[in-house]
Amino acid sequence: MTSDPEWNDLAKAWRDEPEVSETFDLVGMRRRLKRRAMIARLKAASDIILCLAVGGIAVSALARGTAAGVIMGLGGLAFVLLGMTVALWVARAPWETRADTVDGALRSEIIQTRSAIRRARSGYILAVGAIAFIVLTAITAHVDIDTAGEDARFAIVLSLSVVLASLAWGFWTDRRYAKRLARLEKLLAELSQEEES
Amino acid sequence: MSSPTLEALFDEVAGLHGPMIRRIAASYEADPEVRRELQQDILMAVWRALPSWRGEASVRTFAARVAHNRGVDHVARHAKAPRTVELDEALPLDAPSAQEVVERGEQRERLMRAVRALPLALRQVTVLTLEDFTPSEIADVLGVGANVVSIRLTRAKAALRQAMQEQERT
Repeated sequence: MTSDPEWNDLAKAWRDEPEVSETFDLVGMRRRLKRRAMIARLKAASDIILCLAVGGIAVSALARGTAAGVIMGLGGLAFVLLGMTVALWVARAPWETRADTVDGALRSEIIQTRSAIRRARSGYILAVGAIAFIVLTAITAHVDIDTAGEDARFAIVLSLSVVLASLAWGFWTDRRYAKRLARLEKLLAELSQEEES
Repeated sequence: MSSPTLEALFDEVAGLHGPMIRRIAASYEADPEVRRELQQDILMAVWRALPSWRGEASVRTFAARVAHNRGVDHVARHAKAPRTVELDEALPLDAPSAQEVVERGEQRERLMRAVRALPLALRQVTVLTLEDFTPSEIADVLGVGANVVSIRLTRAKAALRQAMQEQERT
């Protein structure tokens, strides 16, 4: 209750709701929350399993001692290191919710969105690196595209397709987050207007 | 916080402050379907944030803060501004035949539309004031100074009065 009668009248009208039959489906919501948390854990686990599998292949490639094996092994280990870091980082706080002030939450959201943009853009460098890695492996392994078997050609085309698809995905993510960042910055500017004036 | 305590606290938020959450969601979204999703989204956010509640502010203030955070996030996610025209608001009424109930419902609806039409900064202080939060609690929820709350409230009242008068004329 404020000391202003006009606000009090409005507040009375605002809260003067009829009985609502609509209730929150708390049981369903808890079920969904548990399911999402489980999916997040499964994703993290599958990332780690994938990394371990690639790590195993990389070590066995290194053990061969050939030039191609060393390149493939080192590339595989670099992938494992990056993949594990990302998987652990994602698993660290999949359900983090900001209970900060509205202003603080918005600023934190902006920082996170900028970080997401940086991550998406770093994907460009990784993609270029991956293409260079595929080409280098093919050259080191003396793969002649004209005489190479079906399997080798398929592997090269598949690898390049995956890299190009991830590049397109990164570009799309980059644009999406950039738009989101612009909206968040606009909102923050709108909310900060009175403080500056 | 242990799981049973957390669940009890959550039930308190959903039960006691559910109507407030519903109204805050309504101030950000007019489309009833999307609004219901936003309400669920807010409750999920409250559930996830509750372990971080340390009791410095009341659980009501905490819930309002989370609700506004989700509301702002909802606005940021949608490129277009939220619809300000009611699409379908079926209001279940206790006494269907009473004209007074209908008039009160209309007045409330006019107020809701006027609130939704306010700029975000003014809308937030308005909703919290209408929910009976004190200026210092509002400052706490929004993370702004008491002075800013006072300036925004003065502007909000004028904008709200004008919007409601315009609605009455049309």
